[in-house]
Formats: sequence, C-alpha cells, structure tokens
Amino acid sequence: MVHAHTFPKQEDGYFMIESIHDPIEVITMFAAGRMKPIRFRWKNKIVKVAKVTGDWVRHEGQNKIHFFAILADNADYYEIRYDSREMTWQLTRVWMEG
Amino acid sequence: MRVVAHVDMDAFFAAVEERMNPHLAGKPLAVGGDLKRRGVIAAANYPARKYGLHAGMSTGEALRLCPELTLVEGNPQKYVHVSLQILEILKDYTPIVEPFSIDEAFLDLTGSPRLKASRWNDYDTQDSADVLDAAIPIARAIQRAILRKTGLGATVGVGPNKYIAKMASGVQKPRGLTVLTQERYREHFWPKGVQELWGIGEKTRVALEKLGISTVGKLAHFPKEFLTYHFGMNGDHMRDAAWGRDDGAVIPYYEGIPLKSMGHEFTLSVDVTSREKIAAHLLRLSDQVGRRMRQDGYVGRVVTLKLRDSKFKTYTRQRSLSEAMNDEEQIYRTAVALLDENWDGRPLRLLGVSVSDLSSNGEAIQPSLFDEDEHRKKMTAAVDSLRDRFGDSALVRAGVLE
Repeated sequence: MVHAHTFPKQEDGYFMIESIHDPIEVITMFAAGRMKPIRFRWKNKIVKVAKVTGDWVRHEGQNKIHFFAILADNADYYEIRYDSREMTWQLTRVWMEG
Repeated sequence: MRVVAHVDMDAFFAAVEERMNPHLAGKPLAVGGDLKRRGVIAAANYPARKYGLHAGMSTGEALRLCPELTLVEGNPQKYVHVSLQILEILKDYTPIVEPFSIDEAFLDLTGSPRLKASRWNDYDTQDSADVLDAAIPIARAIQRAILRKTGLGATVGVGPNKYIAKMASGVQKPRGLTVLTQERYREHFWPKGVQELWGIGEKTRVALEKLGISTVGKLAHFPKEFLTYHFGMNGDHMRDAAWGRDDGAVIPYYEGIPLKSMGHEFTLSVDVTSREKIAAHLLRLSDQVGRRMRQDGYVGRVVTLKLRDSKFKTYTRQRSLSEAMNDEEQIYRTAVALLDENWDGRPLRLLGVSVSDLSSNGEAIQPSLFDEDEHRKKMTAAVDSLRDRFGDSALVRAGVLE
C-alpha cells in the first residue's frame, strides 16, 4: 500500500522517490551488539542488501525505532525501520531508477 | 593566548542524504520539511547553491530557480545521530568541545596535548601566528577523521577566540581551513561590508548604513558612545566583533549551555484566515513547547507569538507573565490573547510560539494556592508520563483534531 506521497518527479522522468509504509519481512544478522538487515521481502520481491549506508534511532517514549539506509544489489535505495516494541519491520522510503 | 577551532559541517543535512543515498550525489539537492505541504528548504548542497538556493528559501522559489532540483524530506533523527558521531570524533582532540548547533562546534585546543606536543610549549612567549599555525595539523586531522568515519566534509576555522574562529570558517568553504590571528582578521574583514560579520543581519546593516558605516573597518573606528546610543548593548558587541574581540569561553558539552528560549513554529499548508484553525495550531504548538520545557526542566516568563502573513511579512508580539511557568494552558491562553489583540484577519502562512526568560525548574516554580492549578499539574504530569512511555503522539488534545 503506497499511502503517502510521491516526491516531486524530475521533468525527464529519470528517477522516482516515494515515502511508503509497507510491512516487510527481513532476515537480520545480530553481531557485535549491532543488527544488520541482510535481505527483505517486499510485495513478493526479494531485495538483497549490498550495503547499509547509514543507521539511526528514533525514540518514541520508551520504545526505540531503528532505521537503516540501504543500497540494494541492483543499486536501488531503501530506508527501512524496525519497531523494537512491536517487533515489526516497515519499508519507509524507496528510490528507484525509473 | 587561546587557540580555538570552529568546525562547520559542509551543507550538512544535504551531505548526510547524499552519503546515505549515492543516487543523489552531485545533483542539485535540497532538504526541506514535509513535502506534501509548502515550506522552506533547510539546506541545499553546493550544486544547488550555484542556482542561488539557500536555507530559508521557499520550496516553490527553489524549484523555480532550479527545476531539476531534487527535494528530500528532512529527517531530524538521522541528522542528530550523525551529529553525535561527529561530537565523539571531536572529543578525541580536546574534551572542551561546545556543540554550537547540529552541524557546528567550537573546540578549545589551548591545552590539547597534540598542540602541547608541538614545539610551541609556552604560548605566551611565542608569536600568535605561530601558535595558531601550530593548530593546522590538528585541524587537518579532524577533517580527515570526520571524512573517514562519516563520509562527510567539514570546514575548520582557527583563531584566538570563538568569534574569529567562527568568522575564519566562513572564509573558504567547503572543506576549507583558515587560520586568522587578530591582525589577519582585521586585514581580511575591515575592507568588507558590515553584513559579513556574524550577528549582523539586514536590518542592522541598513541602520548602520544610515549612520555612514558601511565597512567593518568603519564600524571598528566609529565612536563607541555613538554605537551604544543607537544600538544599546549591541553597539558594544558590534564594535568588539569588528575588532575580533571575544572573551567568551568554549563551554564543554558536559556542562550544558543555558537556553534563552524554547519554541516551535509551523508553516501552514495553505494560507489560513480562520481564527478557529489558527487557535487549533497554537494549541498544538503550545502543547509541544510546554512539554519540551517540562522535559528539560525549564520554566519561563515571556510568551512570544510569531505570525507570518501571505506576503512573507513577519510579526512577533510578546507578553510577560507574573510568574514563570511551563504550563501549555497558560502558554496557549497568552498566545491566543496576543493573536486576538494583534491579528487583523490577514491570511497567515506561518505560526510560532515560544517562551523566553527561562530559568531552571527548581528556581522559579512556586507552590500554587489554587486547587484547580494543582489538579491541572497532576493531569499534566499524568499526560507526560504516558507520553514518556508511549511517545508524543500517544495523547493528542481534542482541540487540535480537525
């Protein structure tokens, strides 16, 4: 479900970026006190994580939401979030060559 | 003498977005607020600045100047996270680090072992230029460490005080390094316009121009009494700035910096003329301000309402209260009273509420004589406790719901 907005598109239609809030399933590695997403399923599509380019945390009361900026092996860019209280993952932002 | 460095991250918000999303690198990019609504850009990268874009410009104007601009919605948590990483890096060079904003910090390097290890062991007997120049390897090391650990560029200014260090970092950007002694500072800035000085805005520039003061050098040599007569205490500060004088200490991050005011503002998605809608926004803003004040342990006496109309004219009106407080009801009631007394119904595009004349909580709150106040305080404490546990959106005032 894409229920947020489409970012302003380039005139030449070269790319598109969207904010979304889709649930995803994620395979995650926990090592050295850190968590790292390895791959995830979004709308029956498997996305392999080539590189985590950034991570940060948002506090909502006592709850922690972990965010990850991801470069996929096909060069698409994603931002995903993990809600540690609900133990759920969401895709929050996508950038695709279009 | 002191050795102070000012570290200023280059186009910080945009650079963080570029580093995380390599597709954005090298393209004109601006970071803004909620892209579904109108708003202003918070930062533009250097390719976008070539089109004349700058922080504070409306997104509409930015897109008009640069149609191929990519606008990315800002994400404060992301930037705070990287800012804290940078603070950790800076602490390797001196414990006396003062975070000045999310993307700027002052460092007092005077006692730094790295500086002491240089051949300038006795600062007082050395020429000031030599002592400051000894900080160059440290400044370069800081830039390299920030780039290596965060992938971001930083500019460093070095001077004998905070003011000169801050001015030095503005001389050459991005990834610049400028060292200014007091003499070099005067050589560089005295021929320039007064608007080059940190702290002098357009209104002050015009006021100085009317007095025939157009350059920093003229400001430095203008009689002190005249400046004080026209600008009060600011006159003194401006003259000191022109001479590059500043006794202010670098206040380390662990001591905290006393805040002058706390506030929130909001750009409306469309111009609003309905008093009811404006009051609802003021309620939400007052709620946010009160909550933040209680979280950080502050109370304040002066409530300020800020309004910006559809022609971008900005008005601020303020009122002093008899007692310091941090209660959103009082903030809201005062803000609405200021609105009713000063607003003539013209369309508004921005609203802001702030509280100033702050003091820490323990100093100013008096026990209330009235049960009603006590009841409200208990309720506020209960609401705060729920929000502490479940987040700020767990409870919302009915008045802000549309």
